Amino acid sequence: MRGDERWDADDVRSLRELYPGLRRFAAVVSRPDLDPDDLVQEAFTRALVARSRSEVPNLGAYLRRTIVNLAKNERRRLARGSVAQARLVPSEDAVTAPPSDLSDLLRLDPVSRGLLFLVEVEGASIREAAVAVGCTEAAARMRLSRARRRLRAELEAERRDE
Amino acid sequence: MSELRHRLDEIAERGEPRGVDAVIAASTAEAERRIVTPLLAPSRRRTPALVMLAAVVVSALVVGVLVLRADDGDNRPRVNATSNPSMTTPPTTATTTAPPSTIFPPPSVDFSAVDFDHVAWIDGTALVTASSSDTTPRVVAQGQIERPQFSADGRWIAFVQDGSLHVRRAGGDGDIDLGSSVRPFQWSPTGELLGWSAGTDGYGQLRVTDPATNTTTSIPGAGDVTDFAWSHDGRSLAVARVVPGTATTGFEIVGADGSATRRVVFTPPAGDALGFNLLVFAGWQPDGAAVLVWVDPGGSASAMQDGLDLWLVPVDGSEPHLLGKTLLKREWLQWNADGSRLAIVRGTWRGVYDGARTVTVCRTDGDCTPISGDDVATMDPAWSPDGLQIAYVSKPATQPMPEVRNNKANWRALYAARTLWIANADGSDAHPVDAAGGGVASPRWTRDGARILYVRDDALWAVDLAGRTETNVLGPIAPVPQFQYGYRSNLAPPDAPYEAGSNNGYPTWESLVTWTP
Repeated sequence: MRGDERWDADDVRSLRELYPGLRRFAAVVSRPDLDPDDLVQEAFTRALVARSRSEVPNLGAYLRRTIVNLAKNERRRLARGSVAQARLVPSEDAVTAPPSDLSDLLRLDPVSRGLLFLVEVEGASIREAAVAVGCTEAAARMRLSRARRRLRAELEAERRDE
Repeated sequence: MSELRHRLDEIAERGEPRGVDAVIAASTAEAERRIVTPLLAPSRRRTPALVMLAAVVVSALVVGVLVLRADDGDNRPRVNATSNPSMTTPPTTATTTAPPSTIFPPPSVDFSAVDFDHVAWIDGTALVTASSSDTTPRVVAQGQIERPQFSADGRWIAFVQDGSLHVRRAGGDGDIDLGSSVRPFQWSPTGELLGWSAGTDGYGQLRVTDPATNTTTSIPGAGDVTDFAWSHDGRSLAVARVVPGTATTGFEIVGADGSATRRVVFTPPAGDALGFNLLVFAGWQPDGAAVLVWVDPGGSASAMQDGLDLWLVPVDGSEPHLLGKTLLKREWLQWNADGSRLAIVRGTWRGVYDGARTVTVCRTDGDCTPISGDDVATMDPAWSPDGLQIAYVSKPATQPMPEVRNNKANWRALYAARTLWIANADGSDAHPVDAAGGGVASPRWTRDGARILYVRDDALWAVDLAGRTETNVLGPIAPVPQFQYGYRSNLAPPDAPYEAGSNNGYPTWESLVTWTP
């Protein structure tokens, strides 16, 4: 397939419309030291390279899955300790150095954070959120349940400490 | 769970959005590169059957030699080998093979308009050399070739071939394979010592190799070497290390033989709660009194792409000078001949079309003066040999986004607005060099000051400043990257083959062509 058969101006326009929401999504699922725009940009690039627009019926979900995968890859890379910054800190939690009231959330894996964001903030159904992050609906329910339970416990612990 | 929603929303809004225009432009440009590059590379040239046969025979010989030499494997420098300051490693494995013959009609080289003896360039998957005494271009290595660099004495050339650092004689014969996982490497500004860092899992150690004697010395020290830089006299190296779990407190100065280590304390405002700053060297002050250091707060790759604070840090511990924010492009830092003034390009933001760029001349006391106003963007400074003038490239301060049609961004139209200028060191008497045309990059003066070399249309040109005539010195070569723009997968900073300057949007000629000093 030639490059000029892949995407036309209207298709690129659709990327433009998706950008604000995708950036927010990327900010939630990625490591806090990564620029969310970098993930969105890479997701756009992969979409432009890999698929013709007609082959991607749900472009938003496709891009969100790509962003989640990129975030997971970064997380794995960090776990391998392959960059200086990663090596600098003694544990994954310390990498984030987030404001303390966000650290609980940032300890969740990217998929769970993405699910929580889509369901709690964006108002997506669990089915829609599952498609967007690339898991089954059952798995999404399980992840959401675990994440909420864990966060609830940690929030309560915070309150007790206060 | 309203509290949860609030916290998620807070995370979702973090950071300063780059903007949809910038992200779309960078994505389409990068997508174009990924689509076009694999299509072009294999079909650029046809390899005659006899050459293929010869290649097979040579390969078989090489494999045979390597098999026979398997028992000598301990002599090869080991990645992550234990450092010993007093120990010089045995000779590295060196394979002397006949350079492959030229396999295609390469571009001619016109040495009449230049003052170098050897030139090497990447052409597709080949490293090609030519010299004034033997102007026939020769392919000396093939594969994924990166970053060719001649030694200061012009006798050797180092390059990365398929991820492994190699050193050959300038003519292409002999080969020293220094192994894979190589990160930064740099020839000593004097003589022929090659400093290089390599490691696995990101842990780098610094080594110095003398190709003449084929010996490698490990430079000891705790932690991971993230960058280094030779002093101009070739006697010392500035070394930046990261020690897990500790804050950044400065860097080391160490002798080329690993002796006489001393520490330079440098603690700019920390990038994160742990006090971590990644230090990237931009070179030394020519008299050795100070080191130029970029500070990357928290080691952020994104921050690096958009420019970092550049500091001139005296090695005697006195007060450092902040010279401004610049992109990480070492070619954009140029000392004049007597080392009293440094031309830098102040600027931020990776975008090629609207990033601020101003050639600025700084003294060693930190006093800096821009040579152009806000109405233009100026870059690519190059001092005249007498240090009185600067050649540079100028373009409109802001340009419209490139037109994107059928998934192709027309970056070339933006480059066409870049013209060659000459001004006095204080910016006065600025005038264009019209004979060079549009689309100019990377100017360099010849030693006699009579000509300026520059890049245009993927070729190297020379303009005679007296007669205002230009000569095509080399090329066009191919494939020159159409652009190096945008996200680069968070490569560890010193590893990035094109530095962050890749994100300026035009071909990084310096990474493709090198010539003897």
